[in-house]
Amino acid sequence: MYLEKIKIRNFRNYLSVDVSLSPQINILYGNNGQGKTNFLEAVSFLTLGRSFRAKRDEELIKKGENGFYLKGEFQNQEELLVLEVGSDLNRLLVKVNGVVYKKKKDLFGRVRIVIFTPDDLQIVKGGPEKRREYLDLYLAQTYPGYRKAYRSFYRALYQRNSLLKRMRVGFRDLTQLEIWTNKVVEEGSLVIYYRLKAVEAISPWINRYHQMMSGAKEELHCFYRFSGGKQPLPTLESIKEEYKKIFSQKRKEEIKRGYTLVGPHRDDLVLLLNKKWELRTYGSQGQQRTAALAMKMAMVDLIENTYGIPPLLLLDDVFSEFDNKRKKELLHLLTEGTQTIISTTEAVDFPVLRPEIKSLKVESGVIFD
Amino acid sequence: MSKLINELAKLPGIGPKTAQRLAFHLFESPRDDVVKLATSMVEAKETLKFCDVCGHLTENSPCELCQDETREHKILCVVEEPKDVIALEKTREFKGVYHVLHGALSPLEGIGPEELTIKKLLERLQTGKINEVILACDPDMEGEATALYLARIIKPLQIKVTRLARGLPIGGDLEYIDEVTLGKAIEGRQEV
Repeated sequence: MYLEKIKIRNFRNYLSVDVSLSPQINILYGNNGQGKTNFLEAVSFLTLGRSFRAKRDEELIKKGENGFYLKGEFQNQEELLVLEVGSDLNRLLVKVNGVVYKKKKDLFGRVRIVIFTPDDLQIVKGGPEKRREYLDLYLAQTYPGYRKAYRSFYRALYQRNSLLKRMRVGFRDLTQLEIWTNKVVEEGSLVIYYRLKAVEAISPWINRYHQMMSGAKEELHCFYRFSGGKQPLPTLESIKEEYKKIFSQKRKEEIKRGYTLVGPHRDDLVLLLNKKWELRTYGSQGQQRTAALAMKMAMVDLIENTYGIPPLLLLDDVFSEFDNKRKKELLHLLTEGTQTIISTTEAVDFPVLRPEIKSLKVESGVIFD
Repeated sequence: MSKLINELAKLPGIGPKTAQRLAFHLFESPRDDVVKLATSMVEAKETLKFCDVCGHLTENSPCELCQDETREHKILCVVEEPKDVIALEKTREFKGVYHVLHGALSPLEGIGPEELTIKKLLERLQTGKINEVILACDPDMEGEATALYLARIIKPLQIKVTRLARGLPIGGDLEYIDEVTLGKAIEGRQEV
């Protein structure tokens, strides 16, 4: 699957832009503040139904205009997929192949994408929620069943937490607690199961990319850390059993504290260097950055492997901290057949490295072929 | 006029635009029709109440359903709202009696067993006249939890407890059915 054409109207600093892209590698180059990241943001908005950085849609509308409009034409094995989204302060327009939908999330999951931005260093360096988001975005794009389990889990969790909060101040209803606990276990175990499977599958790829990009021999392993202590086996039954057991052990403490202490909302994805050193704490800035990129590159392979079709890969400002040797290595890692859009401030002589690369110059909201 | 629109907009499912349309429609309707509508609204409010036995909407308590001797008083169907009784009655398949909970368990909204008619339900069951309870709560998370809760507290009374089946809608297209429903349908498959 690849993005063949995109139409951008009144989005960020773009007034009106129509661009055709190569199904292979596309490079957007230009100085800072010209609109390179805004272009990637438009692509992500079309495919995820939300921005990877703006909190509110109003921020996306070009200053002085009333609303924005985006249209993407995607090619998927001879089949055309057209996604459209427009928004002004009162109305939302969402269309898939010309059919009107009600919500932005109706765009989600039709075109799978992987985005790397400089902020993604936080996946390695930041709190566990960043690493859970990393797994969740992949799982939500790949498995509709995961989206359902995830939503149901949080609903059950909020209900259980409300009950625990009341029990904390003296309300007694152990039967109801047991019911909500069972719901949390049922939905939460499914979430954990999907995540365990994903980590198991992605771990070797992360290590491979990390070694290739760093040129080092160090091993990078990752595993899913269940917040309940003992790691359950990756079968749904054993996860449920372990999760249930933890709840019965923690019941008194949970009532005392008034919230749910264990579950997918507190789990983590642990990255270990040479099976010993936690990358989050012991890794150098360079190691952490390479690992973050390796995690995103690995996700491309994982999606292609589970889904049969590679995702779009968006790399925002990925070269800024790499030397020339690493840049070349990275370009060689980008596989044929995976459409990639890279933004960069440097005018590297890319076509010499790979002649099929399409270069696009970005200047003050205008894109030159 | 704006007062009428505001009042109409308070109704569930009615937005400002629909409220305006309804208001103009009422304005253009014959006086008799408007009076009929207004009086039937007031009448309904003044004469309707909840049945003391089952909790269904009725003019006289106990309600017609509870007094109907031709119904099976041994089978009790538990539902969340009076509108669920009406839905089940339309099927003409169920000949037992009802119990309306007036909601489902939801700690988030502060709804616990005390806020529902669960105590009354247990009193009815303790008379020993009922030998099967059908749980017909909504198939959403809160409805499921309520059904599980009721099953748990009814079990010690040695009464048979059943839950409505989940599965494929009649006349549906298999490919358009969501994964969860389809999964439950496979789980609940029956030999033919």
